Amino acid sequence: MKPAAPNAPMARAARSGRPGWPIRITLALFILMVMGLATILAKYLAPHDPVAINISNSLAPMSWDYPFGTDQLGRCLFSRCLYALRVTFGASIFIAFLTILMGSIIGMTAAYLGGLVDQIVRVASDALLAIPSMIFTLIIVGFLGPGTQNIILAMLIANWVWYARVARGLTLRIREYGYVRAAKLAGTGHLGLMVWHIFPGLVTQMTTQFTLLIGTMALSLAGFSFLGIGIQPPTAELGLMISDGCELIQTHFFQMVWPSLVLILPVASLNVIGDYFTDYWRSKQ
Amino acid sequence: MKGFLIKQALLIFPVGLLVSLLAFSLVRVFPSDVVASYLKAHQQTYSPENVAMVRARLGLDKPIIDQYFDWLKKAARFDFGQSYYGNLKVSEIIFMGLKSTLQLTAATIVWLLVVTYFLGLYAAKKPDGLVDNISRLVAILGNAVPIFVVGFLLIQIFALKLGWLPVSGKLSFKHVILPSLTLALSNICVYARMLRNEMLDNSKKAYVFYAKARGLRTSWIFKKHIFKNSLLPMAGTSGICFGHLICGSVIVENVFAWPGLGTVITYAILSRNYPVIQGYVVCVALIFIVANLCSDILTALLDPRVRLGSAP
Repeated sequence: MKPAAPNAPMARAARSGRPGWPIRITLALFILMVMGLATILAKYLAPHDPVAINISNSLAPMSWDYPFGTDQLGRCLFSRCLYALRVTFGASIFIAFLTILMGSIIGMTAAYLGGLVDQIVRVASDALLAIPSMIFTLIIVGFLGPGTQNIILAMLIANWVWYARVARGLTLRIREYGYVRAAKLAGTGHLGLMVWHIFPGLVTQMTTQFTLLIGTMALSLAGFSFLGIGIQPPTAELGLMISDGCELIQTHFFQMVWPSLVLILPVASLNVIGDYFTDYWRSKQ
Repeated sequence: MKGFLIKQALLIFPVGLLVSLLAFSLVRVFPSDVVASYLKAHQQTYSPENVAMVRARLGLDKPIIDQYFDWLKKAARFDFGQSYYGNLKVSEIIFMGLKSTLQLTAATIVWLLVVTYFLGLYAAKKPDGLVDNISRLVAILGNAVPIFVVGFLLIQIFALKLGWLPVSGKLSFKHVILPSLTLALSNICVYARMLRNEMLDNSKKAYVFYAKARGLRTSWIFKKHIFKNSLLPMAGTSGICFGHLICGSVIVENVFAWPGLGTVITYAILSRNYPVIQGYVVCVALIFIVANLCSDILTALLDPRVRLGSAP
């Protein structure tokens, strides 16, 4: 069977208007591009210092000078949103990437080596999976204490095991493929076999998982910030800004709306793209 | 199948043991100073004699193996010692919280069942119809909007603007409506989509064709044949769903000041109340193991193919 070209959906996009490339994907990609640019260019786009406090100008309405108004401490909400986008998604991409990488490597190695190593990984993952990852994160933070580094570490420890499982299942299948056996017969070593022949087979699945995981991580980070055990103020982080805004929901509704939108739009876009690719690969198989 | 269930039930012991080891060792492994937290909670100074006294009181001067077995012996009887704050036993705190959380979860499950049923059924009847598109939109939003934002929006609309429901707390039946709805909303989208997809997959199968050939009404086939078969995977994930509900309840309880396990653990973490955290870990892990076991049993009860050992 000819392997599927990885950019098949892209090629179809070129001949747009055909079914299979829904408009929502274009929209999602557009949103992500805008948000990505905003993150990179935050320094030039932000009209004010995100942490400069100016009490005399607190809770100012929207204006040209302050596009989203100012918060309770008179900080420019627009600038804060830009920097918070960078912090929240920077952290989530970092966590998601490391989680997937760790899960892939551990799952792949366990399935490839088999035997005792595989058994240990399986039993450990069964025990870890008995507790949902959010509760597990909560527990680890409980013992480590609240804080940015601790929350990132806790989320890593709590989440890798799900992906180790996926990688393990995939590796068991890929290991039996003809080309892997051929490479083995040709005398490729264990490491070479894993790095050059098995790992590329995991990449497609894992990329889809990665796309979905970024959104999940961003939402959990926001949740932990709301609980007060995640990233600590005065860092501009979307979850912190939203929970600050929620306290003013009765009088200043938009205090909550802006950071929420900045969080929701990219997460929704990532989910739409991730779901599309999940369906796409499923229909391929 | 029976063997499988027994195996699952027996899994409680190794997993329970592992969890207890985790709960016990996390305090020792991580750089958290138990003595300092204890002294701070009791507003005593960090002096050598105070440290020695606390170490003796908490049993920290014994060898670590002895400490673990002492702790395990007590934990098996749900005795996790005294909370650092207030003069309460940890088991009492956990038990009270658990009761409230389970009430909240039960109310959420009612919402989930009712709304998922209608949304899933009507979305599957007319794919790409109005209901289907609404449920698709709800699914995209439900997976992207933080749960506490949903909670605050609902409070704003139903409690403050319309004044129909109370804002927060736990006093009457009315108080449970908003938190449970918030908790349900983020899960409804997942399950309604799942039910819809399952039903669409099932409607292409041979037994549906046969039922049509027998001249049964389409609505009857939908409700009796397709719907029942689509429930199986849902029953299989009900254990995971329960896990999601307990997770979500941590945040929802904080939004609505609901006195459940979620608020207990948040306060315990912020005040470094280690006995409470340990009790929580063991309690929650047990709940999940039991929930997963129940969902396995449920699947077996619903599906004779699973029960009789021929895989579906």
